[in-house]
Amino acid sequence: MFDLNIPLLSLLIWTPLLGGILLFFINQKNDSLIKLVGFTFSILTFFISIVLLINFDTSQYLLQFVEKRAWITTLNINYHLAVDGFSILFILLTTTVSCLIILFNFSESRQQNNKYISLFLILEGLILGVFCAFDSILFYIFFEAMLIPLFLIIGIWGGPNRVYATIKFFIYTLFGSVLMLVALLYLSFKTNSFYILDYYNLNLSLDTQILLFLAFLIAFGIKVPMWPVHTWLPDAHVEAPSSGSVILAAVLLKVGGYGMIRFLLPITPDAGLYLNSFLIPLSLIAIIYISFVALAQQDMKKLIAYSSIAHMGFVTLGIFLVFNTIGQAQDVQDISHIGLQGSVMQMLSHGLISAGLFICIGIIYSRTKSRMINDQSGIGQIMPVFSALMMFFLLSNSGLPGTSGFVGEFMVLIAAIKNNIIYAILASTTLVLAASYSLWLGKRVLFGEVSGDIVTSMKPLRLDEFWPLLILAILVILIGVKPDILLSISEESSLNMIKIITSKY
Amino acid sequence: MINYLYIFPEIIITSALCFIIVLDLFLPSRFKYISYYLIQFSLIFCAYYIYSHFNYLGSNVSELYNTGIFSNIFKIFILLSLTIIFYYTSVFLNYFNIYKTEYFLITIFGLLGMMIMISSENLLLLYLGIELLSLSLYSVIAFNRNSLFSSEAAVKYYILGAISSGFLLFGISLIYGLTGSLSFNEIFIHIASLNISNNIDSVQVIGLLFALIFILISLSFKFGAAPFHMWIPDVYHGSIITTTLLLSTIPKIAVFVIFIKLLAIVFSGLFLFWSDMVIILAVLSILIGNIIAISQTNIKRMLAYSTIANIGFILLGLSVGSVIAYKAAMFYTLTYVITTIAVFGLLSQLVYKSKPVENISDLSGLNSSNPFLAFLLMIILLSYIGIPPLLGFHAKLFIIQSLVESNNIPLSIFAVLMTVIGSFYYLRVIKVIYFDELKDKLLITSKLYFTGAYVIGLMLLGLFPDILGQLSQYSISNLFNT
Repeated sequence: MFDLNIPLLSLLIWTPLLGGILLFFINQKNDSLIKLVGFTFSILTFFISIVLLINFDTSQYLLQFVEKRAWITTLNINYHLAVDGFSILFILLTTTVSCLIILFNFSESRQQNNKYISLFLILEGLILGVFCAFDSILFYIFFEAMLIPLFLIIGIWGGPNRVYATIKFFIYTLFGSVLMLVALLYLSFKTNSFYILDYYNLNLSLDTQILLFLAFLIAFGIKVPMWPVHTWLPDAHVEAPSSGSVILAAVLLKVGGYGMIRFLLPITPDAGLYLNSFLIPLSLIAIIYISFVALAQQDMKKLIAYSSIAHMGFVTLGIFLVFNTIGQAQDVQDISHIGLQGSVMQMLSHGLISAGLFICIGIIYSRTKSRMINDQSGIGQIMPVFSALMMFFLLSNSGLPGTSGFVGEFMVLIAAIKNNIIYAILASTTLVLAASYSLWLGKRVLFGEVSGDIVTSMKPLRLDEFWPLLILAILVILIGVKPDILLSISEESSLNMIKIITSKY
Repeated sequence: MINYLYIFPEIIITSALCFIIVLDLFLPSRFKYISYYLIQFSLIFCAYYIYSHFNYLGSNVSELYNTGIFSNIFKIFILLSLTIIFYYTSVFLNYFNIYKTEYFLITIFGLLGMMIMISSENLLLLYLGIELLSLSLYSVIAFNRNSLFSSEAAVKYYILGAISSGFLLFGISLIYGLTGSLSFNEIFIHIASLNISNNIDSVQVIGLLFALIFILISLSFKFGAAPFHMWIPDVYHGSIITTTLLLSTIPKIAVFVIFIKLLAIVFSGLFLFWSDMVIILAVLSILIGNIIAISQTNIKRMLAYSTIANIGFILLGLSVGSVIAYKAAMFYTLTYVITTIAVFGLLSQLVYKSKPVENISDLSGLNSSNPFLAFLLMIILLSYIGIPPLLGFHAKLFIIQSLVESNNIPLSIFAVLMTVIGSFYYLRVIKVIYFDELKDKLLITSKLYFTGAYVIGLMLLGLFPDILGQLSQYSISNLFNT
């Protein structure tokens, strides 16, 4: 075991933040130094997360690597960091994807590159903070501070309609999170503490729970995003620079799902049970309706953005199904455990796959300066390696067995079948729909006749574009073939979560 | 027997004032900077004197002039803020060649008024302090006599200020008639002896309420709370930007002290009545401030409405009436003042087409011409919105926490939702700075070292909110112990 006196989590959060601050002071013309510093710090963060993983004890659900320091003494708010089985998975996802994004970032040249990379590092640090914070105000601080870097990334380096998109993104998410602040303060007023796990022991009346539930649902539902509060996401994706889209889809959306697991499930289970007949349809609408919307898109980025919403619908479905099993027999509870694990799995897998797809679209866009599907076809004949990788990601996006996309959806579907066969039937339409929009996109863009000069003049794949894609593809296969690697990490935490929820009933 | 040592800080200021007025007459114009440095020195010396004699001053038990710990902290804060304001003012006035030592001297009169306000334990003394402050502000606003706006603003402020003073005096005379005293302590004892809950209909209580309303209206005028806010946008707009800086910061601290002393201590027996009044003032201020600010194109006007909204938040904290809420309100006030000094100080250093910055669009593309400046301005604006981990977030957090703790959930939801609406107009400025094309290059009047250090200090205060938190806790608990 590692010496636990090293504040590993603080190190994890502050390394990228420090790197980000450092990059501000580097001359923006000095490209090689920017690359060196940016990449060093992200690799360093990645290694810290690996150290964290190696020392993580998967046989128990208790919090590990706990760090606690008094911070705002007048309110008894602490700088309280820790990880459990859920957070460590998301930490790994974040550090991996961030590393690859920063590698991919160097393939494009842009104005003020030092700030661009710096904002990415800062964003990474803040997201890691969200996953580590176990003091509710600290959680909120990281949760909301995340907005600023992405706001600037989209606003400064984004497309033509970026101002509209970024302000919409900012106000939407700010609106969601402020209500959560009131909910958190209310909970802390009831428990006299800001420690998140203390909230789990509260016995709240149903009315209170419903109000709290709605506050949390708005906050995390906007972040996920759930239908009907998803409209900021396609705009933000379309206008964001490619790597901005990657981090948005791969990591930022997962904060919403993580928050639901951390707050909605254990604190307000009765309200969840009460409202479930309203919540599950929302998830199903996201899965089915948004898939149809994705089919109709002309813009590749928009298509993938809508497919993200549909896939996140599976995540929320898996989470909400847990409520339905409250008060049921033990075997049903085991099923909801599978559903919860499936949600986590789906988030991780979607993080990797959407990262791959957005990188692919970024590669196409950097060559043809167009994201419209109709503008290009037959890329496969010009860039065979790239096309193979993109096709692979499209296939995993449609849930091909053997890729990670299959595992999560399958597990959630199992839980759905046990709960209500109608849910399962409706949700499983996604297998057809996701395949349709993914493969149709591949057919139109990658195959067919070469559409003209812009495609024939496309440059072949460069190494700094190839490696991120390859690593992501390997991870997708690895998880698809042997999901146990990840499932075993969150196993105990998930079981414990189910126990907390059902014991309250 | 009067012990003059207790009012030594005020004596320092007064004597420095008298000395510099005379000295300045004999200085040739190229040596005028000597009087500026003397003024700065006397302010810092006075702050140091209060700091080094903290406990001695605190041992004063006068019922007329309180120099307790609570007042001392605020006095030090005001003195230090004023030195920063004077720094920006002198840079600004020198750049535009309108430097006059009188500007500073008149402001010092106002400072004296504020110190009297903070320390007064007597309604008449309070009135004198307020008048001294107001009179000096009238002349400071009219300082730029070539500008029509400036004169208009001064006249407007003068008339409204006179009306509000009338209200205050009327309220004071009613109080005197009902309680037979002007001393805070005696009024407090008188109200406590009334047994309000059983005598709600008695003439005494109704009369007191009547008086309280008049005093509250007058103070709201001074504070700039809606619906008594009409003068703020015009006056902010009309005066030169450093005067706006002065107006929007330290007088608010002094008025806040009066508010908290009168409401939390003197009229604490009437909490039931004034709580609702303050809530109405607060809600109106937040609504009007945040919503009207959206449509502003002039940055000073926009910040004027943002001031109104911020005042609303302070009042929201005061309306709760618990010690924690007073603490939160004090934290908010300090935060507001620190942030406002930063934003107006920074704007006063910007020159657009050889004029001070006026419109939001003047700032467009600031990021491409001066990224450091743009970054500083963005940090300040984000702090105004209340984005964590900046100082403004903690201020709002404390206020909302105290609301939740008093079980006032609807009001706290209102507050956070208005924060979201308010975020829009700050974001628009950030949008202009960062996302818009550069129009004309902005010049800066001086190097940004000081402003940079100041804003970095602001960020550090946000990372370690305990510094201001403990300060507020310390002063508020001292206020209630005496």
